[in-house]
Amino acid sequence: MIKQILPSVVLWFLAVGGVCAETLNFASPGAPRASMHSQVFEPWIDQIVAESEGTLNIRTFYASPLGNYNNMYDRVLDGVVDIAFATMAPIGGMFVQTDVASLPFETRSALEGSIALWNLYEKGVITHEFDDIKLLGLFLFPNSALHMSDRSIRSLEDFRGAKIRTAGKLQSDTLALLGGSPVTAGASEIYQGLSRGVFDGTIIPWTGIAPFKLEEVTQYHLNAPLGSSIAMVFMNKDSFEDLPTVAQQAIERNSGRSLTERLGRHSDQDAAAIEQRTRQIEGQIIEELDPEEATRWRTELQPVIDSWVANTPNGARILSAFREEIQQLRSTEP
Amino acid sequence: MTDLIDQLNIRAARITRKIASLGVLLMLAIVLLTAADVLLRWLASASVPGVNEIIQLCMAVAITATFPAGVTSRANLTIDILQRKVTEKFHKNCSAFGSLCLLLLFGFLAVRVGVHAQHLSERNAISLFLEIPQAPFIFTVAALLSITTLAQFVVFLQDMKNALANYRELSDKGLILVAVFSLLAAAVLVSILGYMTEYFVPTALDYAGIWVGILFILLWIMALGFVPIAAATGLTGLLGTAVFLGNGPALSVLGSEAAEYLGNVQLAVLPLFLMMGGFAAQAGLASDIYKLAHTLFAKFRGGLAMATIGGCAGFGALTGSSIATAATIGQVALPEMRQRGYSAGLAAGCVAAGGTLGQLVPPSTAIILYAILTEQSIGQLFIAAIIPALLAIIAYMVTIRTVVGFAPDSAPSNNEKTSLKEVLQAAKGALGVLVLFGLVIGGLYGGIFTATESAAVGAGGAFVFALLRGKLKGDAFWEVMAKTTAMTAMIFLLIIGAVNFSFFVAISGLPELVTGFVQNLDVAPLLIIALFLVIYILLGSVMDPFPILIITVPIVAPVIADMGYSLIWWGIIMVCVVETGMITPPFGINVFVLKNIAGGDVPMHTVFKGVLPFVLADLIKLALLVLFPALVLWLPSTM
Repeated sequence: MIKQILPSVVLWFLAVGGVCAETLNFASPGAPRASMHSQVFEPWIDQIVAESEGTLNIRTFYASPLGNYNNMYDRVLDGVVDIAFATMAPIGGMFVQTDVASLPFETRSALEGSIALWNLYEKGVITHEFDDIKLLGLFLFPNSALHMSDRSIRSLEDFRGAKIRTAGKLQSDTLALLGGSPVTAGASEIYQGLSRGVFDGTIIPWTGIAPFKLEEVTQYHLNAPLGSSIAMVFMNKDSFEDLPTVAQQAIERNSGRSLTERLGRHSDQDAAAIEQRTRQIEGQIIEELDPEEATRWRTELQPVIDSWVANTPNGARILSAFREEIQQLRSTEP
Repeated sequence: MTDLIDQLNIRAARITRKIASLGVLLMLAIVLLTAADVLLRWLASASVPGVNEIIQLCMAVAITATFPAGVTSRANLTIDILQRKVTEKFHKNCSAFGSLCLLLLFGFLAVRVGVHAQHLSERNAISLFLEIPQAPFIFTVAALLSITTLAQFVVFLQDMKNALANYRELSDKGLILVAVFSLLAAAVLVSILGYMTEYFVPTALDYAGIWVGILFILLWIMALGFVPIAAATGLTGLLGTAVFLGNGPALSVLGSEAAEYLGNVQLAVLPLFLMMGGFAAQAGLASDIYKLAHTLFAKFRGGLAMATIGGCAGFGALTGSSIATAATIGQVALPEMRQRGYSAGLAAGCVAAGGTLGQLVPPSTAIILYAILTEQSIGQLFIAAIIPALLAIIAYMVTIRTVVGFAPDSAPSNNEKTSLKEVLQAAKGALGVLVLFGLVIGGLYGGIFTATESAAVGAGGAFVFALLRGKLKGDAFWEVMAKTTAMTAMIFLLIIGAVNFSFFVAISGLPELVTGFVQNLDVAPLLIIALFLVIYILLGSVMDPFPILIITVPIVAPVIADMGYSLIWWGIIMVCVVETGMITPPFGINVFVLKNIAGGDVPMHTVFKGVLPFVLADLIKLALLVLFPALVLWLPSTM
């Protein structure tokens, strides 16, 4: 055994003498073949490594053994993972102000929501919620839509008696106000729940349809902006500060607003592609929420907005700042 | 004064039992809450919102509450294949060392789960739906782990006393001094190790292969040296993670993984199914089902042996343990068969083989463990096991016919006739078992229950049966609970060790290495599967199913998945193959259990000879399952 250890010890001493590249762990709990990995994260990582002039190595862990959606935030804080992708919702109690972007009927696309949120971060409105980490990108998944197995929902009246799976308190409250009965279940249980009739439908963005094969068990789809889930790419503060300057600059150059836009745009495209593919399957019915009906829904959902404002420190100010950003973006749109 | 340690032991046993009772009552409360949720959903199509979150947080506390009693009753899994090869003195020394390792693990766990709770409290972590603060629950878990550490210290004292008795007479006070001193020495050693690992972190990845080799050797030395599996895997995992990621992250992983798996909703089914098995045995359901099987098969030659297989299958449906099945049915069936002139070999062989049905017929603890290690659905795996289990039952019955055919003197020829009336009467007596099984598996298959709910309904149902039959009078209730808590503590400790070990395996890059190696081999996937199976049968003949699963699944499962095979299918194959190991010479555990029941007049080699035809049947069944995966995968696909 000593013969095996010895060379490694000797080589280690040699290695410390020379310059050696820092290896960082990047972890994402998403499925290995998720398009976000190949289309956003991998080019992004390659770019950073290339610009770091040999000072940086990044090892990727997908569907990560290093952590799951529930513990990724802690894993980064504790230095188990250096850089990670995570969704905000499971980090209960931490990003209450950032949550403004998840409210229903506030955003039209993932891109505008992502940029608006990043602007709030940059302008110091929600910045302090990220004090413990080094934030690299902040983005929204597209708005959740309604996907039903054997009954369509077009108006408020259609919600009566519909058992619909929701993913968090905000979605549950939203659904209850619209008149449905929320059922709680993890994302991996949706397929079975729908196929066995435990619930009649689910609230989930289009980006969640393909990974869980939900097009096999749903037929009626309604595009309604029922709120988004927020995600981020972030880094352990110490890991960042311990890097050589070249490496730090390489990361900073490729992150922030540019990564945010990339992620927002990608999740819109991803959703559109999945919607398009589903549309081509026979028997699938995809509809848009009727504008008049939308006004009714918005009125019904006012209590969700009110209670968010009441329960969030500085809630009113943050909501109006977010709406301003969105208006700004829409007015500058070509 | 000389009895200080004995007194400590008695006191520790008394206190820890009280704590475990509280934990068990909490579990019963969870059973009732879950049952209420199921009922409400059924009657009013509404559900208690966020009931998962309550289960999660309370279960973590309830399960940890069984730990102190678990360690005082020494509910540990240890690989003891070398026990008869070493001197008693050496074995005692090793036991003391193993105790020390476990003490270290508990110490680390208590502190790190505490730190984890502190983190949760600092960021006001709340649950998603009910917004319950999480920190108080995890702090309670940390406190219970501290109590467990103290209890383990008492166990350690006892083991030291046993070990040192070989050398010199020491007063108990002196012993405690020695124990504290060795604890300090261990602490110093751990600090030095921790200091060293920090040096290796930057280059560990470049020498991943060497490190994995070293740590695996360390694991095997500890495991074969009678260190409890939980401590061997947990400490190796901790050290390995420290080498690759650094001490801080490694310790943080230990704490947060422990907290997470203790509160894992999927895992909550384990203690509940254990409880169901305990109550079912207490209610006498085992002999009910044996009687029914007896009336059904009495007219065949070797009918009693077939009835034993049927009884094992039926009881296996109520418990998830093959040893429990072999022992419970063995106590009823073995004397009966011997009395009626069955040969010792056939009688013992069919009970030992039938025992393996305990693990194959759902619910099964090995399947639950596999599901956790590979993140597969427990419900689907249970349903997938049904056809293979039926196949095993048929194969065993055919085996009995064949054995009786070739060796007519192994079973009496006087066949009994049973009337339809007798069958119906026996069926009526076994109605309890049938209802319970129908509820648990039917509800799971039909989508009425989740795995957790079916376990809760099963445990609740078995409890009611035992209660109505008046079998829970006096201390009986607490005896069932004590057995449940001991098993719960043992399995969850194993799981905590296992998840830390597999974390290390995952970050070491070993699975990728093995997968790459297998890909480069360029041989037919079926050949690789066959190779794995041979290795597993060899491993199974010397080791328990649980450690085999824990050590190999993190490495092998990625290879299987990479070759394009279903992990549900592989799970069933794994359980079959390690269960075959349970009855394969030289160290099949079921065989030892049987030997104990059979007593002195049946020599070991007779039992093994009797079990051999059943091993053959197992191999044929295995070949069928490998060649026709649809046998496993079809039923879950219809769910």
